[in-house]
Amino acid sequence: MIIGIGNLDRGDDAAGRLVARALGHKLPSHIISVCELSGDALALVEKMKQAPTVFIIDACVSGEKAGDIKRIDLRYQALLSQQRDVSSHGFGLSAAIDLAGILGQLPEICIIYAIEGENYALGAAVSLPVQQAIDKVVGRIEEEIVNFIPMKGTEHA
Amino acid sequence: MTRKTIKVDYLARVEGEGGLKVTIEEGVVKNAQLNIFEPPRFFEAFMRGRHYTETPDIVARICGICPVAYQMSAVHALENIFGIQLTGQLRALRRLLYCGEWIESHVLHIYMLHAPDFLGYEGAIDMARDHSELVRQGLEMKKIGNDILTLVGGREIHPINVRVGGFHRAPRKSELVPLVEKLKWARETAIKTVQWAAELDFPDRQRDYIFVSLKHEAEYPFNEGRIISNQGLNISAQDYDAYFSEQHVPYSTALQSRLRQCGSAYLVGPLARYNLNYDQLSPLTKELAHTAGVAGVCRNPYQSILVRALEVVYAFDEALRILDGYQQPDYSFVDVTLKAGRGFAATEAPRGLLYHRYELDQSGIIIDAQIVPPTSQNQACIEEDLKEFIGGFLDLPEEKLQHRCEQTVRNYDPCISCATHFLKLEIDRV
Repeated sequence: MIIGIGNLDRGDDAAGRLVARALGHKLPSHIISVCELSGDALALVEKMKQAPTVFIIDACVSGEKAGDIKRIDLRYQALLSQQRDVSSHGFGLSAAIDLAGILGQLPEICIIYAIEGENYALGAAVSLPVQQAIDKVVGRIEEEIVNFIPMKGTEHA
Repeated sequence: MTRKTIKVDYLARVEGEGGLKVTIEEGVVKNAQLNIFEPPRFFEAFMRGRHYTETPDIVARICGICPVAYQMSAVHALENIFGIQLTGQLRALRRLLYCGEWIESHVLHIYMLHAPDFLGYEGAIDMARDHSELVRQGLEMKKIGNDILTLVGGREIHPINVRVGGFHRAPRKSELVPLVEKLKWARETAIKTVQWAAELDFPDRQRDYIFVSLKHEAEYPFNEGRIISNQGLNISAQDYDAYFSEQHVPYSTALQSRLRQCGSAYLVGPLARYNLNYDQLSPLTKELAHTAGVAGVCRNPYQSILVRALEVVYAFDEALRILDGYQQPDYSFVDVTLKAGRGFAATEAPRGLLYHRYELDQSGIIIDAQIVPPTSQNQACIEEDLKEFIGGFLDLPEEKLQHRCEQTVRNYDPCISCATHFLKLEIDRV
């Protein structure tokens, strides 16, 4: 299963959903299911338990250059949350992963692709570095699915 | 003179920002300022120059948590221009869709955001370690709200099936029937949620609020009704601007709403709906409210978790009632005769009254739009709660006091997408 997370109206925050959408067009639906989420952690927890192998793609802010790609395989590495992502209303990706783990609902293989964004303004377009990163991530996930040999650890593209 | 500052930063998804600053002088809370970043204002500008038919899909994207509310207020306001009043199964379907959103939104808040405050946890993740069954229960209930949105709204996020005049497609009865058993299970679980919430340890705080909500003569309000208050207000949505004003405060990008005549803050949301519409709740919900000790009246904002739980029971009850009588209508929308004009509507979003106004030209292009979300309406009331209640908690250790401030804000379930994202909390002791 491919899960793209983000907000299409907030510039680079759309990255995850655009990757998922592109993969949905490229890969046959009997091989892979694709969904887009707005960031509601509970919906993500619910989705994650529906498949043994899940790729999650999301935009991130970690201080790297825009367009930087991180790949995290949760079998080998924990997702580091730089900030406690509890707000007055929702939860983020790290909270969803934590929650799914506690509830025993994490898929056997869960691979996260995080794309560093630079512009999250309302109504902004996806920046060029992030657009290029989206294309790269689409290619890499496609390759992983085709070969079905998940790589280990975190890597920079 | 000593000054102590406590500052906490929270980060969620990048969808807005807000902050809270509380100033305490010589043991008295002198000031509380809530700063909320407010995307609906940007959407008002986006709407201008668009064709009215695009409205439901655009406004649904204001908020990932309450897209139905934005769609409902928008289509009702536009239908107000065209003189359309939906009846029968189309009207029932809109109500069913709203049930789904209330369930999703309220269950998220009850189980994941508010419950940790009462059970003494930092957040839902820590709570889940000790109360995994409680969290699973919440997840299952929320999923059923999600199922309603998918079936009636066309997809789980930012529904696409709503249009001016009805729906793009009305579901067949056979598509909705599988929901019935799930809803029955969920209603039983919602009853247990009320019983659980009634046993929580609530701070004993009450205020003499001005409650504002819709009121309908025959039903608990979702889509329709007059705007009333417990102080005698009784107006149509068309008169909203004459009775409510929006004011700029220097520390916030969001406008604060107040009653125009007296300048008072007012409260919208579950507590207001409940106090003004108790008689319209289902017999089951009223029976539970009676047992929980809040029959008819609840003025303690910390008990809003209990009122939300009662509204969840009602939403499941109402969804079952609608499904029981549902037949696929012969048409999924009524025809629209285009005309220029101004239209107004208010509906009940999970967190309170959501007002929309649109002005169209002859060709159906939007020339003006106004959207007043519930969170900005509640801002002044939240600040007043903090000023009035926090003074009674000043003997708490700093960390607990800070937590109590956050809990006081959370009573209102302010919306991250409509309102806050970064929540920066600062307490100044002078």
